[in-house]
Order: sequence, then C-alpha cells, then structure tokens
Amino acid sequence: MTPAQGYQHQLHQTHPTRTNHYSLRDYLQFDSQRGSITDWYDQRIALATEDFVIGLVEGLEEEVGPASALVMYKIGEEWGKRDAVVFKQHFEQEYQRELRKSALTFILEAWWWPFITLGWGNWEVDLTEQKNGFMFINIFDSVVARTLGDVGKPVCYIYAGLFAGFFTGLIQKPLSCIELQCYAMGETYCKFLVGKQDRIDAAAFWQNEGATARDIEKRLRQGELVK
Amino acid sequence: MLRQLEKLSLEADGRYASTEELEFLKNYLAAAEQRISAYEKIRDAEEKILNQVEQQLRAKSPYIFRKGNQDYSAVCRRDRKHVLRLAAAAMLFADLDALRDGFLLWYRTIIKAFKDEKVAQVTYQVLPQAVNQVLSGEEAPLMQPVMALTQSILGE
Amino acid sequence: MFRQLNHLTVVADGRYARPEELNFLRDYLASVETRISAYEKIRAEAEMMADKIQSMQKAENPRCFHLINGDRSEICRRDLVDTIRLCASAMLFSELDLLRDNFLLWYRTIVKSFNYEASSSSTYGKYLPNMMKELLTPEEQQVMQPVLALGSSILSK
Repeated sequence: MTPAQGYQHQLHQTHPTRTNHYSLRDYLQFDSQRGSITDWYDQRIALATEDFVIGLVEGLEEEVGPASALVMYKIGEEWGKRDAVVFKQHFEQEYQRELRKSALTFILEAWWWPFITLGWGNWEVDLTEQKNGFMFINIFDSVVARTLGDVGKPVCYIYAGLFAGFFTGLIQKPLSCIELQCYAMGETYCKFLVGKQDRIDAAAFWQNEGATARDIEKRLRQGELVK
Repeated sequence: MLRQLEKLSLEADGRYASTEELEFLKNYLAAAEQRISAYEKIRDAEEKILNQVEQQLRAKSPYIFRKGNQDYSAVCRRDRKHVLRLAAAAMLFADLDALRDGFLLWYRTIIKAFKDEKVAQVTYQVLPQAVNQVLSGEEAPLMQPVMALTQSILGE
Repeated sequence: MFRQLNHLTVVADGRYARPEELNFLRDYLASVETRISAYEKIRAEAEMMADKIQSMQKAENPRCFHLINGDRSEICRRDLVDTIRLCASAMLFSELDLLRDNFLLWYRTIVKSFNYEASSSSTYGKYLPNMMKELLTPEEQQVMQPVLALGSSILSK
C-alpha cells in the first residue's frame, strides 16, 4: 500500500512522536468530505464485511478448487514481504532506533498492533524455541475463521502466508508457516508454526497423518523431524 | 465525557434529549471544578510525584531499574511521566475508555515485550498513594477509578 | 464545544493543558445549568411555538405556505420543529459550527429552491427570536442568542 495523495493524519501530524495511537478513533482518520478512511500512515483503508470474506474464500475455491489454499497463502506471503519493508521504515522513524538493534518482542508488538486495531485479532507469540529455528503464534479472533465458522479444517491460509512473508522479510531468511489448529476446527484459537521449510514440511506431514497441534508441538520441541 | 457528549448529540439528533440523558452532564458539572483543580495540582506536582515513586521503588529494591549492566531509570521515569499525564487527562475529561483503548492496552503489551511486569506491578501500586498526597479529600476520589484501571491493566 | 474539547484532548495528550486552555471548559461549565434549563423549556414549548409562528404568518399572508402544488403547511411545520430542535441542541452543546456546516447551509439551499425565502425570513428573523425572548429568562436568552443570530443570518434575508 502506498500513502494516499493529499491525506494527512491530523493527530499524527500534531503528535509525530506519539507511540500509543492504536485505539480505532486515534489510528484511523474518517474524512467524511472525501468519503475516505486513512490510517496513521496515511494509507487508504477499506472496511470489509463478513460477506466479503466469505465471498473471497468461496469464490476462490470455485475458481481454482483445492489450490485456493495455496493462492491465499501466496497472497498473504507477498503482503507480508512488502509489509516487512514498510514496517521497517515506520518503526525506525517512529522509535528513532534501528530495527536490528531493537528487542524482537518489542518489534513484534509494534508490527502487530495495527492489525489488532484493524480487526485481524489479538495474538500471542511464543519465542521459547527461537534458538531451534521455530516459533509459535496464537491468534485469537481470526477474521477468516470467525467468519467461516466450524468447517472442521484450518482456514487461515492468508494469516499463515502473512507470517511467512513478514518473518522472511524481517530476518532475511526464507521462512514458512503452517496453521496447526484453527478456530474453524472448533478450537478456541488458531495456532501457527513459523520456521524453516523442513520444520514446516514435517509439521504438514504429521498433520496429514492426523496428528493434533499438541502432538506436533511436542515432537518439534523434542527436536524430532520426519523419520 | 467527550464521548458521552458526542453520543448524546448523535442520539438526540432526531429528537430532544430526555431529562435522564442530560443527567450525566449535570453530574460531570457538579465535580468539574474539582476535576480541573485536581488536574492542575497533578500538573504542578509532576516532578514531586515522580520522585516520590522512584524513591519508594528504590527503597523496595535498589536494583529495580537495572537489567544486566544497563540502568533504565531514565526510560522508566519517562514512561511513568507519560502514564501520569494521560491518567490526569482521563480524570479531567472523565474518559476512562479513551485511556484504556488509546493507551493502557497497548502499553501493557510493551511492558510484556520487555518483561517488565514486576516493576510495573510495584509502580502502579505505589503511584496512587503518591498522587493522593497532592490531592484534597474531595479530589482524590476523582482520580481513584483512573488509578484503579491503570493498576488493573498494567500491574496485574 | 466538541471541537474545542476534542482539540483540548489532542493537545493534552502530548503535554499538560495550560491554564488558559482550560478556560473554555470553565466558561462552558459555568453556563451549563442555564443551557440545560433553556433546553428543557424549548423542548416543552417547541410544538406550540411552531403552531403560533405559523398562525401569525398565515394571518399576514394566508397563502404563504402555498408552494409548489398547493398547501405545504404541514411540511413547513415539520421543518420548523426540526430547526428549533437543532438550534436548541447547538445551544446546549455550544456547538455553532456543526449547526452551520451540518444543517443551516444545506437548509438554506432547500428554502431557496422552494422560493420559501419570505416565510423563512419572517420565521428566523422575527418570530422565533421574539418567542424565545418571551419563553426564556434573560440569562437563558444570552446563551440562546448567538444561535438565533446565526440562524437568522443564514435563513433570513
């Protein structure tokens, strides 16, 4: 997304160094004269209904069949990669600090807050296995899963792609992501695994064999790969 | 207050506001002078309040602002200053929702990201007492809900 | 008031508000009791005022509500009742900018398009201010006066 011409967020202009700007009414600027909504960084925002989400997912399924999961993942991945670039600029400008010199946990909160404000859900990141090359992300209130309801399988491919793309861009190494459990499977929240390709492949294999998120998590923590 | 006012003006757009709906304006009005004076006292005693909190925190644990070899007392003070000012503004405008949505919920994630939960817990226990000391018996209750909200979100 | 309050909440976010910035709040608060009592009086009397104004206008010119395709008294009365309410609300919240931008400037174009200027002129230039004078105490008139003046300047010739 690129900043929209001629839109300037008034609160941002008044308080350029303000870092707590994530309530909906602070973060977004509703311009009734132009009929537009822009965010803190002057990017245009569009509101989408649940019908839109259903239409997107089901329409894509009708067009490309089972490949729709991959398409959604790729859309998310591309988005995440680009967002990593934009995020770096915003972060360094806002906190006057180099991204690579900042604490990872802090960077992650800074990245995800706009998503929380815009309704993509709250999250929780588990970095305890970071040294072993993987991490877990829990998403509460996924837009996609909440909208589609209980369909018995993971549905949040766009999130998985987004995480893969963003973390690839952030650490400049190829990473992938898979959704291990999903609200749309009747779980209370969605759980994602981010890591190198071999880890994700192993998790995907176990998942196909019928392993639960908890089984997969246990095996990964024990350092197991596909036998 | 601002939000309630906006809500009232929106809802009463197609009809007159009822007497009950005008109550909150009267209630706010009844304590407004105290809110303003409380705000001004906190504003003028900012340094004193911050110093006192810092002293008390150090008395509890001399190394409370250290992480490894780094001393973070300046950063912590800046943040406390920020919290105090926003809390005072929330009291002035009687707008706790804006404080929660616009600041506290975000700031909690930052505290967590830096694993500062313990310091935060002590800080927001000590802060209300330090604030109360500069306020009169009538003003302190106005600040109380704001401090309670702050403590429940940042210091749990 | 909203705009001023909003502005104050924005500036008081990055620093403490200065004493002079708190003055408008003090001024408003000092007049709120008066505003509420004026509002409640107008709320109680608005329908009656509209009827009286219309009957006086009809006495002056029986065909004054004959606009396009016949007698439009009912519609004119509805608009008058609405306008009185919006004026009262602008007085209550001390928010003249919104009244002008969101309502009066638009309504003027409607008045013009129906060639309804003469009635509008007498309503907002003469009858309504006079009736408010009868209804309100001098103190209440003081808070209502700027709204009536604004209404008159936009809706009457």
